[in-house]
Amino acid sequence: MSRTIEELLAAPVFGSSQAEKEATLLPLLNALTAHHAAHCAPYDRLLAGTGATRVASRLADVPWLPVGLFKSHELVSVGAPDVFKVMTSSGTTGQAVSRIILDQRTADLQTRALVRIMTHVLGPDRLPMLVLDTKSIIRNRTQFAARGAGVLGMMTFGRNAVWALDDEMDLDIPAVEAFLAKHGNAPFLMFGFTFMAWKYFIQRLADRGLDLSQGILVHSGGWKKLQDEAVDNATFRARLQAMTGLHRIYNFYGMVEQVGSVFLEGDDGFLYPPAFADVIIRDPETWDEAPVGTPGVIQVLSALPHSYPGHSILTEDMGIVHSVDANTTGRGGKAFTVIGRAPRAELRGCSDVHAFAAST
Amino acid sequence: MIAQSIVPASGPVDVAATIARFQADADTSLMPFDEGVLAIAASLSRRLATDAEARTFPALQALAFWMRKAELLRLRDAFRRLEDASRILVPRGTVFHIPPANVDTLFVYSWLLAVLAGNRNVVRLSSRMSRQGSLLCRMLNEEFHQHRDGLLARNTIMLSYGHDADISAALSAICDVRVVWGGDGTVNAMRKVPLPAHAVEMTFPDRYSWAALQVDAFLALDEEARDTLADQFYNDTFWFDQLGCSSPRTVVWVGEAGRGAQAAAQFGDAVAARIRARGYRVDVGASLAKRTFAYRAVLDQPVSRVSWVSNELAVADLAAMAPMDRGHPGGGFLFQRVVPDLSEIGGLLSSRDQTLAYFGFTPDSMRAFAATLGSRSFDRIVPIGEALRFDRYWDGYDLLAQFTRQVTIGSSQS
Repeated sequence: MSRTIEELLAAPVFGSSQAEKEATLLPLLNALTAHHAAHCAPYDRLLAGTGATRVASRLADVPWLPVGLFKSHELVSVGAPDVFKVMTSSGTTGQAVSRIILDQRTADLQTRALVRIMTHVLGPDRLPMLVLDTKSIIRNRTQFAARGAGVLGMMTFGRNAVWALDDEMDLDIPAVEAFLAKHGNAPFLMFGFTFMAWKYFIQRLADRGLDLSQGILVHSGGWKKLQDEAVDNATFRARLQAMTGLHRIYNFYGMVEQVGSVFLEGDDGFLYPPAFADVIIRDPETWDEAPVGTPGVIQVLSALPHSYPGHSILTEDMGIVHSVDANTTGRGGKAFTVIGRAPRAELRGCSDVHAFAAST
Repeated sequence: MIAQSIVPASGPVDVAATIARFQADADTSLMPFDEGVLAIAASLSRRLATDAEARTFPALQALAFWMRKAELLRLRDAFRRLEDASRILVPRGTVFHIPPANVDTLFVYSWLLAVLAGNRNVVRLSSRMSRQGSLLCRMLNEEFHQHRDGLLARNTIMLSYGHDADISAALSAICDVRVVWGGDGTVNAMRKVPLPAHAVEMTFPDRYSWAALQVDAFLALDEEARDTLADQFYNDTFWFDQLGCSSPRTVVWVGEAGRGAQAAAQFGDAVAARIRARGYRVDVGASLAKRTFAYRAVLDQPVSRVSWVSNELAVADLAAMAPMDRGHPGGGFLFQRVVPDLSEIGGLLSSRDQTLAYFGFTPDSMRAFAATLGSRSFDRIVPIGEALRFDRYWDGYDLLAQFTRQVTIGSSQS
């Protein structure tokens, strides 16, 4: 039975099995393919030019766009008067950024989706919030645009926010202790970027004996920098639990090209797609769906994007699906982890290869 | 100023001291095609042709073949013909070579032509050296050290350094010829570094190359001949991941449209089969870059359809012969178009276009075609299989002539 995106957003956010996901998502994604083909001429041209399947018979056949396309082209399926907001990705100076065009409807869907996902782990009430970052990232918006936007986005799920780091990025012990004295005996929210949380918070807690056992940590931003320090998710979790008693720790994977479609970590340490999204791991040789347990390139599917053709995107990240429908704690579908960015092209030839790499 | 010396000895060196010693050792009496130089080149050729590891790199075998004794003697004879009673050719002095970062055999061609012309040489090598590049340097060192008179060791420095304008300036200041390979970026950067007033410069910017095949001639081939042609095309295209300036990127089929489509499809399959047989692979990053490039091409260029013959070979059909931006991801991506006559591409060519590799045309018809292009393009028109064959004539220059000075000798008119 087909459901609308509104109905899907009202349904349990993590419970559906892979078969249910195929049945509910496929018609929604096929409808989005048709919608974007009808309202975004470049998208229609891409479908024709790549010989893509317009009506997929399974999720793995839904046509995808490479994520880099959003950096070079403004792809939009609504008229100029309906543009509500333009999102841009983070990027170091000189790098191209993605530009994602939102109408009111898509922005609303994204907000509702994010609320559904976050309340799944935070509960319905706004919790006192400890931000594992420095306030200067929202004062200095040009320098830390992405970090600032991420924190501001999460602050809608908390109240009475306290910043754990001072302007010099040092742990503000009096502020943290005051926060815990006031809120530490009932559930509270902590949010930060994975690397910041590790390097500037966890590493510096040392033996202070802080009790974070009532806390719920939500963190994101990737493991690349932590891999250099040989810290993986298991180490991250174990260290936090041992040092502070914190055990509700939720990493998430998401991107500006699909805001709201957040893949949230379960209690088993794996990431899971919400009801309105899915993930496909592709073998980088055959580009078919890779078998469970085999690493490949991550493709993300989301039923949210209405104003731009971003419902099926091939990322430049590598990941691995570990199991399907094997979770026993209420999470259905694919359990996956993100390995990191796909390695940059290593080609030879005249030196223009580097100019090309730098422009992508 | 510290650089990494690679040849004739490896290790960090002070650039100023190295330059001072290089100038103190100056051996300015060397003349073109010195016997000692020829002997070392021939010996290096034998070394490359017989070394087990070198034999696994086809580009090194092509280099060995190009610099074998018989070929060098032919080159000497051709060079001698440039001289006559009223003119002799002498070395220019010191040549400063800046080879491309990653066409890792080119520095030897550039260096050797300059050495054969009797020059002393400074070569800036990339610090990101591939296995075959490192192997070449090791063999050069072994060769240099076997020749105890130090003929080449005294006259050649090869070193690597980062983007250090001071070092580039110091090396430029002592040269008589500067040779800048490596594309627009390197050329533009080096143009800012002054040269002595008398010095000359050759620049090799980013280039783009094509292939043209005659449809009926291709369809007339038996299976074996098709495979041979596909193999030659493979060599032209994939030796340097299709990023060598001379590797074809756009393929033009000349003939009737329907038969052309048939020929293109058969050729694509044959090339994909050669790619498999040779075990050529692209990594994930290159594959993703190629996908992204393909999608952008559909939006930005007159591409009607992109198909993946295999992961290593994507083919984009052009809906029209319209101006193209000549960007390219490398790693197996071809634009293709069937045209009734080769003259259709003439109007699209520009100074970016370097090599046309052809099949099924007579050299005379290619000569006639080139003559219609005026100053527009193509420095080389060669049969498929020879696109990467290096030659003293490159990008419109005669390198041997450029590495020498012409001394004219007049006689009294009485």
